[in-house]
This record gives sequence, structure tokens and C-alpha cells, in this order.
Amino acid sequence: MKARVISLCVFLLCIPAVCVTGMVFFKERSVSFSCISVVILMIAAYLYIYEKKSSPAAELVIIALMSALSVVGRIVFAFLPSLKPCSAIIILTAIYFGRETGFMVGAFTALVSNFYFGQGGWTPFQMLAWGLTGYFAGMLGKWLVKNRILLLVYGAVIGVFFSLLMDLYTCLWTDGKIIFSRYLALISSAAWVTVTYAVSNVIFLALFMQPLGRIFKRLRVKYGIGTNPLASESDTEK
Amino acid sequence: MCYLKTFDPTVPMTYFLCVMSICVFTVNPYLQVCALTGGVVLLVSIKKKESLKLLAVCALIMAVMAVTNPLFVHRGMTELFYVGKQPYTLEALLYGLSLGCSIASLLIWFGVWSALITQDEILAVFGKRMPKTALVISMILGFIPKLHSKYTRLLHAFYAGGGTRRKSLKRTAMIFTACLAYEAEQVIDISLSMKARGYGSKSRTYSQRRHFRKKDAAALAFSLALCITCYVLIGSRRLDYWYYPRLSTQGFDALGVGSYFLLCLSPMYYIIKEKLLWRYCPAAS
Repeated sequence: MKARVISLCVFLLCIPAVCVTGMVFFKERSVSFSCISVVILMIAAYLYIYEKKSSPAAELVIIALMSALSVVGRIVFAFLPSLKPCSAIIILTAIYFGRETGFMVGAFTALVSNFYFGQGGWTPFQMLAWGLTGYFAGMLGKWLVKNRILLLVYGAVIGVFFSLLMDLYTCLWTDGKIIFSRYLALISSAAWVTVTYAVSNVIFLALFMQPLGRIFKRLRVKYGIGTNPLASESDTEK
Repeated sequence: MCYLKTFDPTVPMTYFLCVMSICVFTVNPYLQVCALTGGVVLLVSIKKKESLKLLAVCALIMAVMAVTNPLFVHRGMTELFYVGKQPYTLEALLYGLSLGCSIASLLIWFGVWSALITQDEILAVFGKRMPKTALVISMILGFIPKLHSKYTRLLHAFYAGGGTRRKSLKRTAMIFTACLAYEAEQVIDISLSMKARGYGSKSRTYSQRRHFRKKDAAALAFSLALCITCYVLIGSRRLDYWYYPRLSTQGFDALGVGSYFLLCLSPMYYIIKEKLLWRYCPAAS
């Protein structure tokens, strides 16, 4: 309850306060200051709620394992230029362990992989983008697990969404506001990257769909960990 | 061992936050030059030759930003020449340079950050406030090498069984998922043993190598005072600067720029002091 109140305060008080501060102090770059602070606050609020919730040790360990796995995946598959399995792993984890776990795995993947590949102002945006990738996958889990085509389409769409969000970050960072022509120029210059994101999501989802599903199902049967995406909300196994 | 590394981690973290929060969002060229100079001097004196690559990248970013910005922005009174029908203005060029400067100084200051603060120390600072997050991050950092070595061992087993040595997507994916299948169960065992040892019944403790002492308090107060001075002056519009339609003639406030310059270069005090002590007075150090 207390966590709810505090997170509500973050959304209702801190975020407007930050926007106003940005406008007062940094006239020219107020938009970029506000956007970046809002992204950081959103992640902080989410982490805070998660922090206060009691969660079993198994859940923490699974979050850690899957985040580590997607970082290792980035290293192991490095021989294929620009194909990264991170999003696919995040999506599949979210489907089998729920949207909150999905968000955490996404956010931690971004944070920790940037320990290796370079931390910077883009980290919060990446955390949010991958976190949302997992969150939405967890929300749609019931349909995604049933329909293979839908899962692949979701992977492609979310890859494009990820790329657009990162372009938005670049745009905000360089101009301090959104200049539409620059945004379009960035999108078109990053079109190749966007395509590789979408394609690599589809390829890795198709590759990992069955083996990961099997492993997660086994964990559920053997240890009772994770949720059954096919079961309805009321009789979710915990 | 660098003397700067003996501070309590909260001190350098606050310091970096102070410096970066100003240098990233201001458009005032005097402040930007201070941040860039301070960052470059610190980076070179801490990392020596390793810093050259980063500096080259930053110079490239600044040049590219400066040259390309006037192609997107056509504001400004001083037209240099025309690209198609659009003017290429001096103001937009300089604004691009300023943008490049803020990105470059951010990268450089992050370089200094990573030289002075390790991951463990970040965890120790946040571990008190956010134990679960810190626990998960430290577990991830532990699992990564473990998973990677497991992958390598499985790969060798695959070779020994007569598997192909040609790298392919299918083969890598197969070994990768086998690696997950193996580790997932091990990891669940970890969680069971955590549970058995009373996870969640008491708060976690962290070992900390550095402790908050008088010199930490002094350094913290010093950097906060300078930072607040800068913020007050920015808030009172004494450090406002604009590029369009013409370059502004104001924006240089001796107190503001001076205190920011001092803030950016203050760690040099310890570096120089350490060098001098080492050189001339070995007994005292």
C-alpha cells in the first residue's frame, strides 16, 4: 500500500516537478531534460514497487538467470553481425513468467549489458524499451503462446518500436526538442538497424520458441515456478 | 592506487551527478568548454594512453554534429552559403558544435566515472536502499561468466562427439538452449538453498571497503556548494545564452563560469598533490 502511494507521488508530483525544473533552468534543452528525467523516474518508481513487494527467491533467481542469458547471448551470437537474441529471450521469459518478470528481465538486460558495452545517457531509454517489450509480451502471453504467427509478428513489431524509441532518444539528445525532419532523417538512416532488429527478433523467436517453452514448462511442472500462460487468470499456478 | 579511489563511493557519484547534470543540459558555451576541458584533463591524467581512442571518437562526434546541424536547422542570420534552396548558417554550425560538445563531454565524463567507480561500489551504495535490485544485479554479474564457461564446455563436448566445427546459427542456438536447460535447474537449486538459509527473513548486509570520513564530508560539501552556486546562477538567468537569430553577447558570468570550472577541475587537486608527495616527500606519503 505504502509503495503504491509513493509511486503515485512519483507520477503525480515528481514528474511534473521535474518538467517545471527543466523549463526554468534549461530553457533550450528543457524537453530533453524532462524526457530523460521522466524515463529515469518511471524506472525508479517501477523498481521501488518491485522492491517493496515480497517475491520468492526463485523469481529473483530466474530474473537474474534470464538477464545473464540474454547478455551472454549477445556475446555468443556476436559472430552474426547485428543479430541479437536479447529481445527474443525477454519476450519468451515474459510469456512464461508473467509481465513483471518480463519488465525486470528487460530492464536488467539493458543495464547489465551496458556494463560491458558502454554505459551512457541511452541506458534508461534502453531499459524502458526492453522493459516494455517484456511487459507487453507478458500481457499478451495467453495469445502469443497459442499462435505462433502472432508471436513472430509481435517480435517484428516490437523490434521496430524499440528502434523508433531509441531514435527518439537520439533526436531528443541532439536537439533538445523534436525536429521532425531530423527525426525522419534519423529513422531513415537507421532503417537498416530497424530491419535487423525486427528480423533478428523473428529468427530468434522461431529458433527458441520450442526449446525454451519446453525448459520453462519443465520448471513449472518440476518446481512449480512460473505461470501457465494457457491457464486463465483465476487458476494461475504459483 | 589512485588517491581519488579512496573516497567513499557516494562522494564521486554525487560529484559526477553535479558535473554531468549541468554540462549535458546547458547550451552556454563557456560552461561547456569548462566541462570538456575538465573531463579531458582528468581522463588523460587518470587513464593516460588508454584515453586517446575515446578522445578521437569525441572529436569525430563534435565535427560531425557541427557540420550536419545546419543541414537540418535553417535558423540564424549569418548565411554562409546555400545548400539547394536552404541557407547554411554560422549560428546553426556553432549550435551543432555545442551539441557535439555536450555529447562528447558526457562520454568523456562517463569514461572518468568508470575509471574511478567500480560496479561493486555502485552496488554497495544502492544495496542499502534497494537490496533486491542490488542482489539481482550482483547475481547477474556472477551468472554471466558461469554461463559463458558452461557454453564453452558444451561446445567442446559437441566437438568431441564429432560435431561440425563450422559456426552456424542452428548449432549455436542448440548449444545455447542446452546451456540454459542445464543452468536453469542449477539456479533453482540456488534459490532453494537461499530459502533454506532464511532469505527474506532479515535484511542483507554488504561489505564495504571505503567508509565515510571527514575528507569525504569536506569534498562532498565543496562540490555541492559549487554546484548549487551554478544552479542558482542558471536559475537567475545570468548564464543564459542563445544562438538564434544571432549569437548572444551575454552569458559570461565570472562567478558562475569560475565555480563550474573549479568544480570540473577539483579532482586534479588530489592528483597533483599525490604526484608531488610521491616525487618530493616520500616519507610523508
